[in-house]
Amino acid sequence: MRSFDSVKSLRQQINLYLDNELPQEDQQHLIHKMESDPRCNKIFNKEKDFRDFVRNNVRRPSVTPDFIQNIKDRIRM
Amino acid sequence: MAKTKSQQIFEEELFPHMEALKTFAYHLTYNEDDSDDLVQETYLKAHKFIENYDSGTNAKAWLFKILKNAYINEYRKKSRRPTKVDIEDVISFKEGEEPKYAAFHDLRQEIFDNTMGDEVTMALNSLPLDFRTVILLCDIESFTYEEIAKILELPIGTVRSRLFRARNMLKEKLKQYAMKMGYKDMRGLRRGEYGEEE
Repeated sequence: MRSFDSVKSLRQQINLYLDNELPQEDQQHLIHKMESDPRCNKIFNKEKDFRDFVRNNVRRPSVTPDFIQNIKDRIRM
Repeated sequence: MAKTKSQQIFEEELFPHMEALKTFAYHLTYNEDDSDDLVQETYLKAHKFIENYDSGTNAKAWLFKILKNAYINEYRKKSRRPTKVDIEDVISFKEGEEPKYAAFHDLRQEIFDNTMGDEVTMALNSLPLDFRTVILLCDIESFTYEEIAKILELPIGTVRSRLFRARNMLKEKLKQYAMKMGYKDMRGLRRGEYGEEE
């Protein structure tokens, strides 16, 4: 189990947690820390907000029906 | 007329990922025309090599790997806009090295409360390719580290460290945009137990 000896270490753990890549044991430790330490919880929320912000604002160009049909025509579907 | 097995795979497993492929291609090539060409090329290659795909497995990851390889092999050299790489980005890109961005771990809340849609795209597109790619695959397309490692043919540890660094770089780019818009640099405020700004 990791200890959070620096903000970098804490943020790495939070990022792994948000990516669903943190081992179960470390998840429990992190959740306990967030529940008991408002500053830890604040950093967690900032990391989460940042991801949501990027995901919600990045440009996602659409594909047109003509484009889809053109691909189907090219592969003869 | 009954659909062939190949047609069924395309309709049910491969075509549903076209929008995601278009977004990925757009942020690799920087423009709509090249991204359309790249997505089309991806499906043509998928059709050509459909025998290599096992129906019911990870179609999205398979398509993304085809697109990534097509981009590297064919499109990158003719991309209409060269990748902008700051020399500092290159210098600091060493595993285990503390990046210069470490001090900029927070964006001010005000940034999140204002519209910065175009700035997000510009900031993302200004990252070096290796960093931009992991953000797109993880944060935009929600691939797991294992899937990203397979798509990019990298060790999982490299994916993990590159993602952490890429997010720091993206935050720094967005902070620069925010400051251009008039927001103050709030670094240097009182710091808490973890060194974060209060």
